[in-house]
Amino acid sequence: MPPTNSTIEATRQQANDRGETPQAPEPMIVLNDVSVAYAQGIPALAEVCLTVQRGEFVFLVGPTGAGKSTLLKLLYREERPTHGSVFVDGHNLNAMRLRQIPQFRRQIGIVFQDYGLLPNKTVYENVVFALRVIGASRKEIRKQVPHALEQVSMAHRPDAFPHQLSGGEQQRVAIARALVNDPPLLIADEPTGNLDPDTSQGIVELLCHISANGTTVIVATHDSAIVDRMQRRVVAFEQGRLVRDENQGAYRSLEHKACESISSESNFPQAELTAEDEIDAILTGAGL
Amino acid sequence: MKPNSLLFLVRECFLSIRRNGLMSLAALGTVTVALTVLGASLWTAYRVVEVAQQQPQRFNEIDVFLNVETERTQSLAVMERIRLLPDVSTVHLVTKESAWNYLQTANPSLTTALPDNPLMDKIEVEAKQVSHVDRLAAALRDTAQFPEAMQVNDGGQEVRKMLGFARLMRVIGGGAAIGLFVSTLFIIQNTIRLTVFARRREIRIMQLVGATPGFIRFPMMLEGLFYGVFGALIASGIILLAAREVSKFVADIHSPLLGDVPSRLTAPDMISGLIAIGALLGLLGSMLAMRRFLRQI
Repeated sequence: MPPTNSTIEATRQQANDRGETPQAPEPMIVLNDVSVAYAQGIPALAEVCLTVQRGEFVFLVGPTGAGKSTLLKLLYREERPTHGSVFVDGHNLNAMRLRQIPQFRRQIGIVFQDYGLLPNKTVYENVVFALRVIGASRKEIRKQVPHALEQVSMAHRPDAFPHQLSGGEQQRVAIARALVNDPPLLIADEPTGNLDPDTSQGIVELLCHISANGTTVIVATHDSAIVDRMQRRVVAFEQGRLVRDENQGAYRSLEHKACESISSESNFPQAELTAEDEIDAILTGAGL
Repeated sequence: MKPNSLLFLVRECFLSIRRNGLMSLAALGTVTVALTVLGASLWTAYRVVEVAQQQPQRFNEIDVFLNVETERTQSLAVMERIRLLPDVSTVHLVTKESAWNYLQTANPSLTTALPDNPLMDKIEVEAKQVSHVDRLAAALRDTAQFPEAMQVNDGGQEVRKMLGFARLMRVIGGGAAIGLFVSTLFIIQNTIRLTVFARRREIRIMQLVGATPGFIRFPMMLEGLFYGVFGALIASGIILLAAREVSKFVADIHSPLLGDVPSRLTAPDMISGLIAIGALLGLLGSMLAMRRFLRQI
């Protein structure tokens, strides 16, 4: 399926077609024919075109090695495209100088699967840390940190250390740290990867709530149950290519589901699988 | 940088040193040992050169021992004749009586065992320059000119050896100092790299939340500086203590080479010098250790 809205110009054209004023807000993210190849020449992303509007909530799905994390790294300028252009919040990341990167990253909140909390700092100190390193005043810290902790329902445990918290609580603190600077864009790379289904649901609902307040949220995930339940925009990748972009999508495409359904309902007896066959099937499914 | 941020970074640095207690102690210990070796080597080389440079002044003296039968008037006449020689700077007569008196005080058991004063008059001659000692000693040994001279002692051979040794020490000491400086630098770099490695998670988070490279580097540089300065302080204490013990030991050795040669380098000079070297090494080591991260940021 071809990707929607491939360039800024296309987006503006669509806005014009809808009779909107040309001053319509710029999309939050625009990837224009982006490819990333690593040193060995293996493409991590190939000819990806993607536009994400402000305030949107987007799931990036796909097997391991499909290019989800590479795409996220492009967004916070950890990686640079070998071809194509990347725009985030109006910044052309291709033309961005090294010394401009710290200032740019202050407009992005990042959440990881392993939470990334500092083990020797309390919940409060972990969130304060994000403001301290960007030179925030004490007044700002006193105002913003309790608010961020309240947003993630962790205001009651400011003095706890990470090892005293559950996985879900740690992830909430990590989200509070990502939010404390009030960034317009929140990026989450497998935020529920280490969590049980109920806690995962809570974390994704929290991210949805954040998105509802106007923050653009991009979530890379393997969690098919969550994606299917939330019915949000789904962008699917396979072997570095964007293969599907649906506004209210599911983890797997309808065609894929149909195939699965036919296969499971089939009355034909199936050959018994050997261990080697199973491994082959797993590797093929993972795009390897 | 805002004063608020500066205070935060300084506090972060010391908090990190305290929280990584064993790691910090190991780092400080390594830096101290490295700086002690460097400082002690530099100090030893400096003292050897200093002592070697002092030696020629002792060896530009020639002692002329006169025959026992020489009368005092003759001794004075010989002294005047020596004074007229072109290479002579000063001449001094040590009478056998004064030498005997000195010996009686210095070694009474020896003098009481002797029935009479067996000593002779001695003329101490100082050459104008060390390089003239050989020529002057040859002139004094000329029996035709100075038949009263029984024995002439000079330090020509020793002078040449000591001058050569001083030159060698300057070259070897300089080379060794450079080598030790570089190896200490690498030790500090590796030590800081370990602390950087221990704080990689923190550094990563700082990078991702938008800390500037300077902000990330500052506490590491401060940590390097701390290890350098504090290590240098401990090292200078160790060196001064060792130097005092060595001086005591050397003072007990009665040798013409190890006489009292006061050092021009005082304890405060040494401490401040070592602290400056420690600070420089700490900062350079941190910069080298952070190089990889500087490229990434």
